[in-house]
Amino acid sequence: MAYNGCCFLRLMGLFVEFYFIQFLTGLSTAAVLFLVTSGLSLIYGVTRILNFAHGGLYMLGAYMAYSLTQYLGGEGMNFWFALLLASLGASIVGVAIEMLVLRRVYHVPELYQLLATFALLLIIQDSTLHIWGPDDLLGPQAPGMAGAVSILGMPFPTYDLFLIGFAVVVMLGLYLLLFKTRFGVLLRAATEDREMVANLGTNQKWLFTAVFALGSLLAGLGGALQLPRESVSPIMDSNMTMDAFIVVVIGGMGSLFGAVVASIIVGVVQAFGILIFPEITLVLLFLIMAVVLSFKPYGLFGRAEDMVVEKALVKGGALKRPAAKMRYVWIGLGLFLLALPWFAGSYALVLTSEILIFALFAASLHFIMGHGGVAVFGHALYFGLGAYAVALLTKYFAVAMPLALFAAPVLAIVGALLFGWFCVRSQGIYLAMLTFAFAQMVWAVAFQWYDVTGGDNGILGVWPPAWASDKAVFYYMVLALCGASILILRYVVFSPYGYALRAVRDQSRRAEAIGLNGKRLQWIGLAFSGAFAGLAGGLFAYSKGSVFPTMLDIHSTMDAIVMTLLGGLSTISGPLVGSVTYIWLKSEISRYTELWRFALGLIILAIVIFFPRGIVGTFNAWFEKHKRRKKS
Amino acid sequence: MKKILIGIALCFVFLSMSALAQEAKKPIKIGYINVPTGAAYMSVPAYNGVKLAIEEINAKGGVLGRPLEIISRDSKMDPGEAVRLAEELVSRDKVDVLMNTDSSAASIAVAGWAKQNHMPFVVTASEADSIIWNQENSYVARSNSGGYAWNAAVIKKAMAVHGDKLKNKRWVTIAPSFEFGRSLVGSAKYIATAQGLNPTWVGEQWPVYNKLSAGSTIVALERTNPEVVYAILFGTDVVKFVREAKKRNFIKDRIFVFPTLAIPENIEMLGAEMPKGWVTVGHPFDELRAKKPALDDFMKSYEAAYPDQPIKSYSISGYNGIKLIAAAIEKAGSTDSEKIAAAFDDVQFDASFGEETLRKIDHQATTAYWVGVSDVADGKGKLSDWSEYNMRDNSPPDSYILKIRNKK
Repeated sequence: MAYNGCCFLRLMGLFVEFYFIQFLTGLSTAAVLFLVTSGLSLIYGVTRILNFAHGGLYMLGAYMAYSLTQYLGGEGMNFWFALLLASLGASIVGVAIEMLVLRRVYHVPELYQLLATFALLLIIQDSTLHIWGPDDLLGPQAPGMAGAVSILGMPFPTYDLFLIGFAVVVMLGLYLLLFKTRFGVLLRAATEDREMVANLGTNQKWLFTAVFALGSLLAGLGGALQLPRESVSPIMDSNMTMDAFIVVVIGGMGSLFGAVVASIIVGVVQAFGILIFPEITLVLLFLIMAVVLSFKPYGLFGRAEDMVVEKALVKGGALKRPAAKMRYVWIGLGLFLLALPWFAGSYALVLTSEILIFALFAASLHFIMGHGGVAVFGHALYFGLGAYAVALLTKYFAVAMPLALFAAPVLAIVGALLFGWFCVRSQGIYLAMLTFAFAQMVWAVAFQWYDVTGGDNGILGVWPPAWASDKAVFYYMVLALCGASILILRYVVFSPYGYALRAVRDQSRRAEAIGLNGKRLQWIGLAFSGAFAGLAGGLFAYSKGSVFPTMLDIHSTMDAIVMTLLGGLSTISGPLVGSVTYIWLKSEISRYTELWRFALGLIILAIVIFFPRGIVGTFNAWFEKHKRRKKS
Repeated sequence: MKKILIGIALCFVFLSMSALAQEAKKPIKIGYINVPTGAAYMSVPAYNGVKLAIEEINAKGGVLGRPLEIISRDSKMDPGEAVRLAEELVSRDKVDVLMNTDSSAASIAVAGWAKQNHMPFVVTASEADSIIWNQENSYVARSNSGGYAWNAAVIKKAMAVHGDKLKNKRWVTIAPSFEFGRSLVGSAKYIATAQGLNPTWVGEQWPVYNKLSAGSTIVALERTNPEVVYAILFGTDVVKFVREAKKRNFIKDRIFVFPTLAIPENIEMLGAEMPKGWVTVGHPFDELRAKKPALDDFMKSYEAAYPDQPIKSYSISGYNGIKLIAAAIEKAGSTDSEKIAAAFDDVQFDASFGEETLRKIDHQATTAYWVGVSDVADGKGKLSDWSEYNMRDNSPPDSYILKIRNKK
């Protein structure tokens, strides 16, 4: 086909129209994103809680809007009335969450808060599934807006245009609320300096509840407004949670203006990504997030806040060497594990192998989080890199197991040095979000690079060679490698480097003053812990015979964090106890109930609210108290 | 004293006899990997079908005189978890056979595990052909239809409906990036060319499952100005695509080939918004039951057991999966895993549409399916102008499958 000049211009013209329509489509996505993230950002600004459950409220808004339009009828004003009621419903749920749960976690470290809201999300997910059932539900079209208007000769849905306009109205409304009312003044003041507002006599409790009511209302509204665009389904929350996080992190947490700009960036990039790079849409978003955070660690419009930084994790205090008597417990445990294949069945061996692998994974996270004080929220990245190193080498180069298992930590170290360089320059919740962004980015690469990684099919056939395929032999190999690694980690904890790392964690300025380079120590610590996570990932790949992108995703990260916190952050044996308890609990819970997410959510909440020191920490504290009482 | 001794002896005899009887009655365990939290829309109807088949079989005295018992686990649609569950079900719960209702990725992963560990495994939901074709795997069987055969029939039907209008056209594809999407688009391209349609492929979109940005995707497709649209979408993506395609006038003057459009769950969800005239696969149960007594019986018992839950395609493949396992164990005469796997070859079983036979080369059921065009009547979507096809006539010859296997 040959184009003459006129035809070429026509083609160009056509492209301009396409680009403009695509831009508008991106804006309509941005409109809903803005509604949801402005709520998220407001809540964060005042309460300093990054609310995972926000996506759940968005989903609840959509479900309630569906039920209400069924009940009231989706015609005329009833449709809008239903949407309004649904948003109010979401608001009420948000207030209930704040009053019943979050009020109890305002004083705990930020990573624990993140976990608590993640637990709430799990609970909302299972409750929604239980109430509305599994099927997708299709709500009515918005009255009078089922059609399209013609823009530059191309049809553009009326409703999408309405959404853009509506978001602008909400934006103005929020502006007026924040800058022209007393409530707004208080909100802004609280965002600037909570303690000062409290000192000036404002009832903080109700201010927090009010901001939750407003934020949840916006989330619910965002969900309800999706009704004419998509069917309501039990997975709509996870899509939105991820996008909303990207937006608030890019825009800067707590900044309403940031939410506006970042929503537009994300919406438009998504739209043009589909037009230009349909193969890497997911990677693109996380890439933008990672790039922004690397250059502006607090997002485009966020502010650095010392206050926040200091309390992302619990202070460990001086770490005491465990009592000499404990040695016998460890020797006993070692002997038990060595003798296990003599009396246990094959399932027990498989389960114990898995526990050992996860214990190493948790121990590596515990090292950097507990001792390094670095709030890593994407440790699955290194676990997954190790697993993919093994799988790719096996698949494309038929590399033998010992060499592949050596390559796993090496790739993880390379990744940790690369990503860690950006991460350690940031702090607190932003560091958590940056590690999260990198992990998600690598996940997206594994998920979308179908030709190399097999996409979500993963890579199969990564079985150990014949000599190690016997379950007992494989178990001994796992025991040897994980046992040795855990001992090395423990050795380093009590080495001068370990003390230096804790010095930086507890008193970064004093440590700096005596000549410790805190950033570099943390950077090395990240690489060191990444190496062991990588080894765990490599072993995991062989134990499953396959790797999948899910090993890199948020749930894998959550597994490691929950295991670490369940055991106790400022303890030595925490990761081991945590992984045993968690894996056992998880496999038992899902044997007996389909509501495993609900149960898991309750367990996490219980840890955060009642046992923030974890099992071992709580036990230690109880033991100490008992001993003291005995002495006196 | 003597009396007491005799009494005790009698007791022992009685006890050991009843223990023997118990041993014979020991249930045959089927480990079922299911996705109630990952994709409940397919898990719930499938499990209904499974339970129904188990009840029916046990009411008739079970298999080899032993009742069937199902042990269900949730893989959360995570392939890694599915493999872990396979391991757990086999080594801890000592199941005799594995079965699943899960994503294609998880099915492929468990199939690989089953091969490595010599366990018979029946797939009931995933239509990806790579599960049964990519490797020689005598341990795996499938009770639902496969993607290649769907495509063969859908394209034949499209040719019957549109005639020469389908030749020398510009085609675009849109399918989720997961395995089923990839394998369907792959075989559709192969078949369209093999049928002499001489298509030009001008664009493709691979949205992430359940994350379709319908508006932007349709603009991107529109820019390539296609004449034929080949689409595979599921769940909420279907609604987004259909609504947006209508609003943006993308459907005008274009031929749509959309195999997954008229499955029962979409008919129920879309209602009167079902587009008209798109070539698709469906399940016209209500028209079929008049002709097929076996189906009518199945539907009657299903409706009696689950009065408020409509029959879905997954209910049927779940039901058939159990029937297939029962028939294979019966044929093997034992629950030995090697014998069951060997019995899969050409086994005959009593499925919801009547007698079916597994193909020897890939252990694929010869399930019937119906292809027609989507339509709306009385405010509800339906499948019109349909014809029946079956897996045997529309699967490729053995040589094609062997070629795939040898390439790997």
